[in-house]
This record gives sequence, structure tokens and C-alpha cells, in this order.
Amino acid sequence: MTLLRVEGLTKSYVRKRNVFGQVIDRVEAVRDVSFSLGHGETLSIVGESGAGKSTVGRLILRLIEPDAGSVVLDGADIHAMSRATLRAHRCDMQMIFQDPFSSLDPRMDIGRSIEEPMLLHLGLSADERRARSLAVLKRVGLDESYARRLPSGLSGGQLQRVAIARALSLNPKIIVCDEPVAALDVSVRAQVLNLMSELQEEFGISYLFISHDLSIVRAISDRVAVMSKGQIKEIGATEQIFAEPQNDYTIELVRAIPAMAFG
Amino acid sequence: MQSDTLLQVRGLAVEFPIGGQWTRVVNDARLSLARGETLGLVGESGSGKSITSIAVLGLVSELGGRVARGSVRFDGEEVVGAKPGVLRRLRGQRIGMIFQQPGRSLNPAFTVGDHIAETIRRHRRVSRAEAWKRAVSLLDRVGIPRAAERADDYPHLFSGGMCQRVMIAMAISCEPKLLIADEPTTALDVTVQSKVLELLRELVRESGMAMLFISHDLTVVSEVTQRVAVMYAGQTVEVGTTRQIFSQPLHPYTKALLASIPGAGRQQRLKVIDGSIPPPTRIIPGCRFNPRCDCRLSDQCQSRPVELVEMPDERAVRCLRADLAVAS
Amino acid sequence: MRKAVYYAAVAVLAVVVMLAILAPWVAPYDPNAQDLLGRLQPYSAEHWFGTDEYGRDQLSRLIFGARVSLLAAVEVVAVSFLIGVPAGVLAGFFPGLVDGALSRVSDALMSVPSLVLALTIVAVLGQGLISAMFAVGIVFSPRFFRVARGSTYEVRQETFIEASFAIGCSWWRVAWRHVLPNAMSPLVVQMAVVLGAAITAEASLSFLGIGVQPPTASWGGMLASAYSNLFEAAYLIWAPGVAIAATVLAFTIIGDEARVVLGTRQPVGA
Repeated sequence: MTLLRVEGLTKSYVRKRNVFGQVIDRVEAVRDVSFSLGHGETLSIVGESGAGKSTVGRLILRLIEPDAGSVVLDGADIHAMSRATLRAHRCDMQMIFQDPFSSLDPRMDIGRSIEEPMLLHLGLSADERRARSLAVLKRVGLDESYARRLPSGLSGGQLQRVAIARALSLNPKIIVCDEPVAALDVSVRAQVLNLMSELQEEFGISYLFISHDLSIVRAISDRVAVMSKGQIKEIGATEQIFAEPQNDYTIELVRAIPAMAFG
Repeated sequence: MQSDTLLQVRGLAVEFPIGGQWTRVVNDARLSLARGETLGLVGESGSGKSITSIAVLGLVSELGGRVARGSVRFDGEEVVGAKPGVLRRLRGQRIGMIFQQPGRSLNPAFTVGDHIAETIRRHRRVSRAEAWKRAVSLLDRVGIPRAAERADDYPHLFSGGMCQRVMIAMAISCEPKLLIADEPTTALDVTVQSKVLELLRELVRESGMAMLFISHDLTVVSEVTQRVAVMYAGQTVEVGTTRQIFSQPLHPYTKALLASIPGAGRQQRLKVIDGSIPPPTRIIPGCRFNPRCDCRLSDQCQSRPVELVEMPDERAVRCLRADLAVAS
Repeated sequence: MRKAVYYAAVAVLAVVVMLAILAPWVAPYDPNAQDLLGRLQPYSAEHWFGTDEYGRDQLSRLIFGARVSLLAAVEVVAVSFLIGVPAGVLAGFFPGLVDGALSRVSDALMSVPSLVLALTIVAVLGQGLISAMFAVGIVFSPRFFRVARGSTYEVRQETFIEASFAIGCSWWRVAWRHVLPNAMSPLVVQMAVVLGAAITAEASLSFLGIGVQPPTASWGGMLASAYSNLFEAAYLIWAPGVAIAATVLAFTIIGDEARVVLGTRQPVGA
């Protein structure tokens, strides 16, 4: 049963206009991208910078409008609906961003940041919201006392957990993760990734994991889509892609992965 | 000090003002580098690895800090407390450095050729024409296609990988004895990374210069270096050859770092180091890794600071329970 | 040293505010009470700051004038803030046509000399303190517009704004709950500065006879009568002149201090 189906997603940006304001050069950020994602599955999109992976993530959440293509989440066409209906559907799809230090409002305490999605979508009383936010904080491994603190005192790993807690508070079906551990220290990455795996097992969340780090992708994904210059070059089961890459670009990418020289 | 030891850092402690108070960000750093050798300096944020390299260049006070203790000897000369004239001759001419974000290290108002030519003219008495010629040949050496034309281009026309090559060209333009590379490939894509590392290896081979390769990426370090020093929370915690560090790590932090590298294949759970890196402002009486260590030698480990025990052949470890018999 | 100056400015302001609030109890005379026999008296024990051409006690007029000045300043800031900030936030949020249109309006307002603009608006709205200060409020609104626009544009780029949209916030909520609180610092600084400028503006208009109408006591009005009696009673200039200068300076210093204090609000990450 497919949770997410993406067909022919396309987005280009204007690069140059002439004197009259007419467009003379466009850069195609995303070109005819199609893929599907099942329930409780992790699909990673890998590629180098400028490949268009982050743009795909944002298109799926409709944070940007596509030029063409469709995104169907659990039967609902994300791009065909009105803005109001879209806001209601935000419960089902959430996002975690790359920079943990700037993805939370620096003026709001952690508890309020986590409660905000609930405030917008669920008709809960203030007490109920508070209780849920504390519960979800606990679930991501942070003590209750964090709820009253401001983001400025927390480490990158802790902040990313808060971001996960905020995304989790609405019980989403899919979470788009845009390089969620790239900005974290190596010894902290595993903590966050493990947490994400646990949550996937417990809640059946699907992840669209965007990353340029192939070794992490290999360890946590069910399927991998390789992107370059706006297009998907190859897509398939993780081990298939890594062990027997078919596309030239994928081959080059896999070959470039540094291999541990000893041990 | 042996005659082939190029760089020796002993007992280095560096302080910076944090929140109005002088705080020790490097507590006890030790490393040594022989001529022509590549040493990897491994650590995460707060390890002090970048500050140590800045101390090697004598730039600590320029950045608002101070060296509280210790010595840095480069090619027989003491860097700590050296006169500005001595330091100026050191940098650029005998020590070159490349940084993590190549695009941001180049002045957008000058062409790429200007950058390199200026560096050359600062340290060598050559004419402008001569310096320019040399700049073009360097750009060619580092793999910039159509070097003569590209030398006239401004930095914004270069991609990340190309910018890093330009930085490398600048750094080696005066044939330094030591190249310090601080996370040179971290901001680059994986295919570009492998090419830049290849370039660095070639240059080291050709010129016989030593390289201090700073990174948090263990896999890359294992490919490039002969010896490794691991730093944690401002201290050197383990030193050894690359083979030793990777196949027989002694310090629990080194072991945990190695274990947390994702292996091949889908894994259920990655190995985790609980807790987080202590900020420099936190005072920990005993071993600084103890709060996260999975050993329970609590009393001994917590009561007093642990010394870096040095063994023959430049092997060293800062841990009370390290099995030293394994090392020898 | 900077702190000492700051505390002095706060003290001056505190005195002015207290005098304004407690005017009826503190002023020795009724500010409008005339005493034609005691006209143009220099400083004396009875009249600390002398009397004007109608024999009115200057000290009392100064104290009641403080009320006018402060109220005027507050009105100006309120008007310019309420016009400039929402427009600035809109412009920062919707670059393109919206920003283009609003910016051109703001540029147009700024290109006209402020006093001329104020006079024009007063001519339309009619005389009196309220309309005069409304006019001055419009004149100052481009300042708030520019600062709000720039701040909004900057905050807009932050990841948490995109995150707010991702969790389902509407434009309005993002602007009100997330952008504005984070954009406030430079706006607070502007408020302090504009308060000072507003006092000068009020004084200017009252001096010209446009703002506060006689016989109401105002610092600008006092300057006007001092001017017309320049040869007989030059000392009349001092009291209102120093009062205006000191108050404006106090606001400016506080504004400067606010800029320094609020300027470094971003915490440093690991």
C-alpha cells in the first residue's frame, strides 16, 4: 500500500532576464522526478549539492509550488487542494531541517515550540497540549525540565531531538528529513539516527531521507534514489544500488566513497 | 629533539575569553610530526584541534586568545612567544594552511591569479611577471583546466572543489615544509572530495612536505595519514600510527568513534556514545571522557586528571584502564 | 563611562516624566494665569525662570509643557509605528509587487522635506496638537517601514520560519508570532530615536504656530514668544531650549544604549 506517490515533479528557477524582463535562461532544479514511498519505509535521496534533493523535499510538502507534476499522499493530491485544506493536511507530513540551531524560534521556549503544531491543528486544551508535549519530549530522550528552556542553551543533538519531537507531536505519516545529522558531531549522529529508527518501528512513520552522506544512507535506508542535476538517475533497494550500481553517475558516486583503510 | 622532527607540540594550553572569563579551550595538547609525514588530527567540536593548529601558526593572540602554557617548536624554532617578524616569515613561507570553507577564504575582489601571485611576492623577491607565471603553473599543477585563462577569473566563478584547489595552490606556492589542512574536504561533495584528497597525496609525495590533516571524518583520515592523534575536549587522548589507531585503539573514545562509523549494509541500530561533548566551561575533575565512558573505574577515573602516558615509538594514551600490554 | 552617560540620560528622562505627571501639584502657578503688571520679569525668587510677555510664570509653563511634549512624542511614535511596521512587514514578506509599491510610497514620503510634508498634512487635517502630531507620525513612518522591512527580510530567511510554515502556520501567524518578535530589537531602537525627534518636531510646529495653539503651554510655543521678545527678555530662550535639547539628547542616548544591548542577541553555537 503506497503512502506517497510522486509523478513528474518539475521545478525550474529563472536565472536571467533580458532588458525587457523576459526570461532568457532558466535553471532546472528538479526535472520530471517520480517515485513512491510505502508505509513505514525509509527512502533516501542522495546526490551532490545542487542535485535538487532539498527542492524535492520542499515540493512534496508544498513549501514551494512546482511547475508540473503531482504529489499524492495517502490518496490526497497535495497540489490540487486549496491552501486551507493543505494546512489541515500538514498533520500528516512534517519536516526536519539541517541546521538544528536555526530551525527553532529562538524566542520561544522548547515546550511552546513543540506545542505549536498541536495548537494549530488539534482542538486540545492547554493542559492536554502541555501533557502531550512533555510526553513526546520524554520519548525523544529529553527530560521534562527542557520544556521551559530556550533553544540557545541546547547542543545540536538536543535541538535536533526537539525538532523531531515537534514533528512527532502530530503523529505524521511521513517525515521529510533534510540532512538531519549533517551538522551534528559524529558521536551524536548515531543517537539521533537510532531515535529515528525506534520511532519508525513504534509509530510506522515513513521517512524521506535527504542526504549526501552515503555511508549513513546505506545504513538506514530501505531504498535509495540517486539524483543528479535535477533528475533521478537510479532508484532501487539499498544494497542493490551500492553493490551493483547500474547508472554511470551512481557508479562514480559509489566509487568515490572513502573506504576504511584498516580494521 | 631528533633532527627529522619538524613540529613538536608539548603540553599546550590555550585560553579564550568566554562570557567574560578566560576559559581553557585546549588543555594539554601533544603531537609531533616528522619531515615528510602526514599526521591526522582527529576530533569533534570542542576537541581543540583547530585551535591547536592556530597555535602552530602563532595566531592565537590575533584571534583574541592566549597561550597559557606549553611549547610549539617548528623546525627548531619556538613559536610560542616568538617575535612578529619571525612569525610572519613562518606563515605562508614555511607553513601553508588551507581551510574548510574554500569559497569564503578567498577575497571576492581579487582574481584567483592575484591571490597566488601576491602570496609569492610577499615571500620571494620576484617580479610581478615572474610571480604571475608561477601562479599560472601552480593552478595548472593543482588541476585547474585552462589555467592561464582561469587565473584572470574571480573566486565566485569557481565551484567549491575548484576553490579548494586554488587554496591549495596558494598554500604550496612558497614550497612550505608543512601544510596544515583543516577539514579541507568536509564541505565538498564526495566525488570532489576524493579528487582533492588525491591531489593532496600527490603533492605530498612530490615535494616531501609534511601535512597536518585535521578532520572529524575517520574514514578519510585512514586513507590519507601515516599517524594519528585523537583529541577530545581540549586534550590529546591517544596517539599512534594509523594502523595502530584503527586496528587496536586503546582509548575508549577512540574505540567508540570507530564503532560509530556505519558499516556496510542495513543496520538496525548504530553504536552510540551516550551523552555529549562537555563545553570548555565545564570543569571535570578527573578524566574528561569519564561521564560518557562505559567503564566503571569511577573513583580512580573521576578523582584526578589523567596524564598522557607516552610509550616507545610515539604511541601514547590518556586512560587509566588502557591495556598497555597490547600496545607493546 | 558609557554607562554613566546612560544613567544620566535615564535620570533626566525620569525627571521630565515625573514633572509631566505631577504637573498640577508641582507647578507653583497656573501656567495660563496672566499678570500684566509683572510682564517680562527676569529670574527671581518668585519666578525661577522669569515671566513672559503676559506675565505667566515660565517654570509652570515649562512643567505643563512637558506634558504636551511627551504626549506628542508618544502619539507620533504610535502613529508612525502603526503605519510603518505593518507595511514594512508586508513588504519584507512579499518582495515583488507589494514591496515595490510600498517602497515607492515610502521613498516618496521621504523625499519631501519633513517640515513641508507635515505642514501640508496639517493644512488638510486642520490645526491642533492631535492633527499636527498625526502629520509628524506620517512623516516618520518611512523610518519604521525601512527598518521593519529589512528586519523582516532578514528573519524571513531563517530556517525556523520555513519550519513554521511546514507545521501549518498561516502567513499571519508567522508574521505576528515568529517574525515580529525576532525583528523587534532594531524597532525598539528606532522608537527611542523617534521619540526624541518627535519632540523636536512638535517644538518646531508649535514654534510656527501650527501645533499647539496658544494659550496652552508648550515648549515650542515658549520658544516662539521668547523669539518675539528677543531684545527685551533674551533669558526666556533658555528654559525651553535647554528642556528640548536635554530631553531629545536623553532619548537619543537611551536609543544608542538599546542598540548596543539588543545588538548582540544571537547566541553562539558550539
